[in-house]
Amino acid sequence: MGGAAPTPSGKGGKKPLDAAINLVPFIDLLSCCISFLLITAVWTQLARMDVTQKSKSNSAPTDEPPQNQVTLTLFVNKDNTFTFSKSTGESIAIEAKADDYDYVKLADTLAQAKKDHADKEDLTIKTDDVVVYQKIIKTMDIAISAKFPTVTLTDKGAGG
Amino acid sequence: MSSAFDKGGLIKQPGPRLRKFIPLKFVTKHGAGKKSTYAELNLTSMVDMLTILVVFLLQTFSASGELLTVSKNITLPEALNYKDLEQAPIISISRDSVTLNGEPKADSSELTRETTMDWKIPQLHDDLVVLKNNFKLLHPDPNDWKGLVIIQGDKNIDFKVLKKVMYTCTVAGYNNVNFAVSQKSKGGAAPAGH
Repeated sequence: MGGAAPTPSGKGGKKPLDAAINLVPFIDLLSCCISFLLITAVWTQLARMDVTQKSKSNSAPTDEPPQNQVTLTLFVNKDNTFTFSKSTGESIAIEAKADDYDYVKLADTLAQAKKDHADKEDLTIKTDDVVVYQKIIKTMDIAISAKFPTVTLTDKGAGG
Repeated sequence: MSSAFDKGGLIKQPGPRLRKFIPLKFVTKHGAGKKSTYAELNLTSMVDMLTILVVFLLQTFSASGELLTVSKNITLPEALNYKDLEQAPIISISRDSVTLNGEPKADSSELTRETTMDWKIPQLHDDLVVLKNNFKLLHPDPNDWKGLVIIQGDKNIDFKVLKKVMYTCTVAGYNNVNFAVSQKSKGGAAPAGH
């Protein structure tokens, strides 16, 4: 059943070049594969995001960066605004956009900061207590997208 | 038209179909307006369909399995940049409670209301330390300890609760804090951690 039956060549002794593929075991194999994969399938796509914490316990003076190194800090304020500041004193305010944070402008600002400090990989995010978790994750996501893979998350009270 | 059949080439005239050889009356007889009850199964399209299914399922196959189950009252935030999950203690933060591996440890609303400067959540801390000690007993090599903990927080919780949980984790010796997120599709690009 199911195979492409080779027709007899009719010319004495010549072997037919057609090969019959037995489809039954092939279909069996595919059915087993499908059953196994359907049983083991995980439909919820969950993952994790790394974060560094600068808490009260490890904010000792010895952790301070060297003076010649620029520290980049992003403040997530409760009034839907961001403040991006450098340890050199430069500061950029990102205003709210339609009652939400302006993530587009934030992405542009961080991209510019990455251009200015190409070797910097760390960024400190300081947030207010009432900022919603989803907005923090989105901010962290934008920071990682802007090539700042080492994100430190802390509250505004810790060390600044 | 000079055909390949005449020349005895590789192309052969199709042979008789399988149906003709089945010695059943209802198969061979097509008489007197009676409809044949025999239905041919087109194997080519069936094999095609099965193959496509296998390819699709293999693409969505995850070797790590389901390490994390999301609680009913938790909606995870979405992120574009993520890493694969690893086996670790899971702290869930919903708007009502904070749980460690499914066991309630604190009340979220109470943590939000508290104004004390002590961020440590005592019960959570103690249980995390127990878990850490158990791990160290089973894995005496200090290099095995990565201090990984996964925080599975509802997207609407305040940072105030989150920072207390993070602080408790750090004090208990879990320095590698991770946030569980839902993967946001980004048009086929590879995730950051890969």
